[in-house]
Amino acid sequence: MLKIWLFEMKKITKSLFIFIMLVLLIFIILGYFVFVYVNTVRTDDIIMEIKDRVYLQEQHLEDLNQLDNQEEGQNNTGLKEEIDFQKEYLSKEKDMVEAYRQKDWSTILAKEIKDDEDAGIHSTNKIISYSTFPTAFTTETRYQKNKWLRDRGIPPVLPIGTSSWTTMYDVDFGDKRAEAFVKNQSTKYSSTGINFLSHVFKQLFHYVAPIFFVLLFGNMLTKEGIGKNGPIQLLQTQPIRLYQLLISKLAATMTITILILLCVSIFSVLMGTIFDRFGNLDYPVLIYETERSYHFITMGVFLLKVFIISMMVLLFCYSLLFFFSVITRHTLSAVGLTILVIFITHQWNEGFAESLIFSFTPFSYFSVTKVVTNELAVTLNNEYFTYPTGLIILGSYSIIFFLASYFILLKRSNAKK
Amino acid sequence: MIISIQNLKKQYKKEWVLKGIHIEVKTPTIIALVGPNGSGKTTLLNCMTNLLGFSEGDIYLLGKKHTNPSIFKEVSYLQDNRILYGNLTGYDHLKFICDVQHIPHNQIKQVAEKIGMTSYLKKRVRNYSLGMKQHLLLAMSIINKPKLLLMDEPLTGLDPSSAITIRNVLLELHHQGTTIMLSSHNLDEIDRLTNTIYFMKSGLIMEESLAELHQKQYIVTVNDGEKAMRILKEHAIPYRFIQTNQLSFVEMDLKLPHFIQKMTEHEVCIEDIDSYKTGAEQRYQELFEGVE
Repeated sequence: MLKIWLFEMKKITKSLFIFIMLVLLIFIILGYFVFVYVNTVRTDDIIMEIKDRVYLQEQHLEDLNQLDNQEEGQNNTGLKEEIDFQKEYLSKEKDMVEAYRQKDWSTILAKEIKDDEDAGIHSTNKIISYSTFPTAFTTETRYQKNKWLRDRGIPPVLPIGTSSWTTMYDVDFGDKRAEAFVKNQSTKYSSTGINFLSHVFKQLFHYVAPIFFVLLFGNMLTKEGIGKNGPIQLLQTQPIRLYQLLISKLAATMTITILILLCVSIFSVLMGTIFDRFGNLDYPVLIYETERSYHFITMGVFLLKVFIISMMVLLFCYSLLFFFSVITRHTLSAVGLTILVIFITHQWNEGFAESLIFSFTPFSYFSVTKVVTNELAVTLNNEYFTYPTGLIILGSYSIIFFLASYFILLKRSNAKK
Repeated sequence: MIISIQNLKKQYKKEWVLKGIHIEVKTPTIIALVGPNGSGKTTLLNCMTNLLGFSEGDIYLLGKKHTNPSIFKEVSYLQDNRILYGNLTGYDHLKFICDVQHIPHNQIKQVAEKIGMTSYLKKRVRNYSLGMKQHLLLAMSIINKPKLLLMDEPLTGLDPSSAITIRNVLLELHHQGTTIMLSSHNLDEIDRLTNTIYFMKSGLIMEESLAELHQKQYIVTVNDGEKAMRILKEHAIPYRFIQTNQLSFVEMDLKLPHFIQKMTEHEVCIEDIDSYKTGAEQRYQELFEGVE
């Protein structure tokens, strides 16, 4: 079986179509990196922002000082307090400029943490801010995330102000303008290697990757595979059993898939590291739990989990493709049907998202990052919709479809007498 | 038994493509399947190799059920060139067969040299000409030294020198004990390879051998036809009357020196002797006139 697997691997690696598709994938990732790089907020941007504020603040302070000079002799305590407050504020802002210039993250994060504590993080009225931004959950998680970063000495993804962190509970933003501002601030990009990789998984693994891989291997699993004529007949007229042939094909497809994903990961991290920096595998990722509780996991664990469930999603897609190719015996029909089913079931699934069936449908787990962060489970209030369930469901359906395909082929073969 | 096919019937979309084929081959032979397009030649070969199912009948190759994949250790099937992978080289194809059949890799070089394909063995198949592809297919089907070689149109698209090469390889294999069953439209080549021809028409095998037809025949012109016929009847020698003073004989019925001696004894003068042989093409025309 090893020899058949090696032959299948050779067929894939020498395929011009696959080479072209991979080059296309590289260009897509390159293009996406340029987008992320351009949209990454850097310390210089923050310094400029603070300096603008400082300038306005200085203008305001000058105006206050002039007013104070004009009122010389009158004991205006209110004005003096205002001047003192502004001076203190200005001093803090200048300190922050210096902290950002020095990339002194512990000072910057300490200020954020202190601001949250001063604002009474622990006394937030959770009923009032149940859905209005920032909800108690958002404030709490932002506070804890900053503490996590400070304690581990991890540079944050900028910006880090109050409006730059939202959670799924933030629904009401007051008005459209405020909502647009917060969403703009909280949609953060980071071109560091590790963070860029997480962006790639988030963006690519929501239907793009399954469709890409179905197209990539459609030819191998259908046209040359189960079709009426074609190269499969070379394999069928060798002393090879049907199950050996199918397992070798699947193993080769999965091996190449893993290799491509690893190469994509390495390429993404490399791009980020060369043009920015490596990033940090300990960066916190928020995991939602029921009853508005939560915990953080490290970016490394998050990426590993995303990688594993992504593989399971692809395995399921291949099983579906395989099944349709056995039924239709036609490449385009099999690939088209697979993609169509993925799309239709996605739309159809949303109709009963809160029902129990949803968690037992493999298509529900295609939003891999939302499955890992448990966001979907909490949003849909479906306790069965978890990461382990996802792995079991995707794996089980894959096995069912593969076995169904195998038995159909076997039945056809036996019908030959 | 090398090939045993009993009452093989195959229906395709309500049409019977094979209507009850019986074949039994006990000794190494070269068998040619000849028939017009759609007569069921490729279908028969595909059924034999389990690439196609069938409705009734039984197939045994080398004593084993045809569905048993292990038969392909001793049975090879040369199919059309769609089975080749354009992105791979000829060497890759041969190496794969060696790997799955546990054949030493040095066989690749030997087979390539025998067929004359060493110069393009490591080129990608998509750059091969039709003849090169046929060479590769042949190499793939003989590298395991099969006891039974099934071939679907192996002579298609070949230039004369390639055809000669392939013919010589097949004859050599046959002399080594391989049974070869091939379908072809190239009747001249078939004549050179074998006189065991299965003419297929509408899903049936019409005729199983040309052995008799391959006998040399004579047309003799004499000065007294009636006297000559009387002598032949006296000696119980079969003949066929063609026209006045002209008779024909089959070589197996009459040895020419014996005939000349009898005619001379009875003072019949032989004016002319002409000989001819019936070939696959002539028989094909007789059987399938107007079919295609």
